Amino acid sequence: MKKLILLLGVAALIGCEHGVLDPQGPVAASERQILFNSLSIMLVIVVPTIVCILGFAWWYRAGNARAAYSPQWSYSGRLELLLWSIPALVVLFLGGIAWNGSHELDPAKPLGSQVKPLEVEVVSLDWKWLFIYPDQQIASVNRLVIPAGTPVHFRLTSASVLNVFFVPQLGSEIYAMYGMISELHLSADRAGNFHGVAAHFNGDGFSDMSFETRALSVEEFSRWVTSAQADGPALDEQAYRALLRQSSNVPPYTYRATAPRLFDDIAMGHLPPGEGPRELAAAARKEN
Amino acid sequence: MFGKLTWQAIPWDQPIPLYTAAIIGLLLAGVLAWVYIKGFVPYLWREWITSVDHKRIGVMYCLLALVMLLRGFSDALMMRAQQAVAFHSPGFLPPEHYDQVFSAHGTIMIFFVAMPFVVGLMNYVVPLQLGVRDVAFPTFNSVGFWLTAAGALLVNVSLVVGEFARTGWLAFPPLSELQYSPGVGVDYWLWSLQLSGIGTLIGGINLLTTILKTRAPGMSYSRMPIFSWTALASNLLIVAAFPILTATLAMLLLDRYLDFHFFTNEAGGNAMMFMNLIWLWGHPEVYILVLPAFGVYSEVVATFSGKPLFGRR
Repeated sequence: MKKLILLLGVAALIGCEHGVLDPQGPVAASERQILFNSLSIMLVIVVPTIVCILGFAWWYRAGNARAAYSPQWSYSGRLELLLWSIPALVVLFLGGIAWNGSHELDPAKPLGSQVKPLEVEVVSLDWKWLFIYPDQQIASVNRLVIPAGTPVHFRLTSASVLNVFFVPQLGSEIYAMYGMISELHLSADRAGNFHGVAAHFNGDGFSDMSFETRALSVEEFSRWVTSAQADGPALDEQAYRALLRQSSNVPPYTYRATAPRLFDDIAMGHLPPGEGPRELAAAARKEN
Repeated sequence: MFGKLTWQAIPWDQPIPLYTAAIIGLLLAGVLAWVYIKGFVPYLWREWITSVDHKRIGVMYCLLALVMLLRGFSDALMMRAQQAVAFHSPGFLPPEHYDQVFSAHGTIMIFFVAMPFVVGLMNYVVPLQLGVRDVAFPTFNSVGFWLTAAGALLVNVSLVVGEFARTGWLAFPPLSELQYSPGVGVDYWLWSLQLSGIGTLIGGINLLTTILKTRAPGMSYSRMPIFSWTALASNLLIVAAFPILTATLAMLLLDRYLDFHFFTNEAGGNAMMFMNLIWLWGHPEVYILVLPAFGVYSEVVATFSGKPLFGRR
């Protein structure tokens, strides 16, 4: 029995590894703190309420002769005050925490760091992630590589349907939308590999649309940039149009060069959106 | 006569919906044959199918909810089974099938299980609590129910003819637009929700009028039982929110059928407008469902405690 309980406990905790409860950056750490704070504030209400419900039901059961029976009693100003003021205070308190947290952790607000942030542009495609490094003129598919300890400024858009970019261990998920640019600032405390996911259902390839986030030391990162610049195809308009075709489970690879202002062209709608299912795209081409 | 509908619309290569449909078809045929042989048809037709009695309609709403619960629950079992076996393996459902199952599950559980249960309960109980012989517009009530039932039927037809939506229970564009969902699935979703949404709106207008205008003499608002109060709040929300759902779905229909661009990626469409509109309906919907349930708790607990409801008067 003891073993079974232990096993269930371990099974329940397996989900915590590599998730929001194991933060690896300042944003994720603050968000975990907010999660714990709100959880404990809510438990202050929830636990006594549950205990009271069970306790009252037991004490005032029909068979208990010692319990006072007052069938006409249905109003008490003091109880009303108690029952309304505590939840109201909790709502105010939780609201304050949420207010402060949303301003402090505003995704568009730069992290207070002395290090110059790395610029990364994220494009959600059907069904792969494209990470463009505008300053390094390289791009990566399905693998995000960042230097540890350096804040990263993401600009995100979608080339097809709505999606959500989320690296649980770094914090703050955010929408990627066609024709719109959202901003996000994240940072990894130390080197490591973190799981990244598409967090909004976006069609048949959704469940496989995950990516690896690799946080490297600053030296290793610049070595990775150099090696990426030396190898692989170039991301010009033709290569980008090939990316617009639906595909899933694409193994990660890099582009040695990117067309300038590619991200803005995508976000401004200068390039066509994702093709959609193959049959339809083929039929449309035939008609033209 | 059938337009684009051909035998190709039936998923011959997918054993799960085919066997399910065969078993349901056999059961249905068996029940119908039994009803016919026993001579129940005139009784069913007169006393139930064409009935405008609020209690019978309430019972039929709950029966519809139970039948659809069976479907929604089987979908849930299939989803969980797939998730259990699909770790580092494709499992037994390909994505295009799994996505239909989970979209159908969400749609069915909210629109064809939770809503009919709550509406059925209100239909049955509210006139009795208010001392009214029937709802304000009894025939209208029957129309509302049969529209909901027609919507439910459409969802089930999609099991064998064509496919259901692969876009989640709220079919967010641009995924639900023609470009990314060219199949008939989203159309099934749209039409079934249009029908049942109008049915719910009719029911809401009906109960609202009943509560506001036809209460028995002496049934003042302060004497009105708490469940009828929650039903009043719920039906006010239905009348406020369901037209938004109908209009939003109509816009998506125009996008898909007449090349409009309300929510498309191209030509200035804005998918976020759909989000705003659909949640303008979706948020009240939560209270539409939960308020009558709270009313049930308040009535049942107070009654079985043999005491008036605390803080009521």
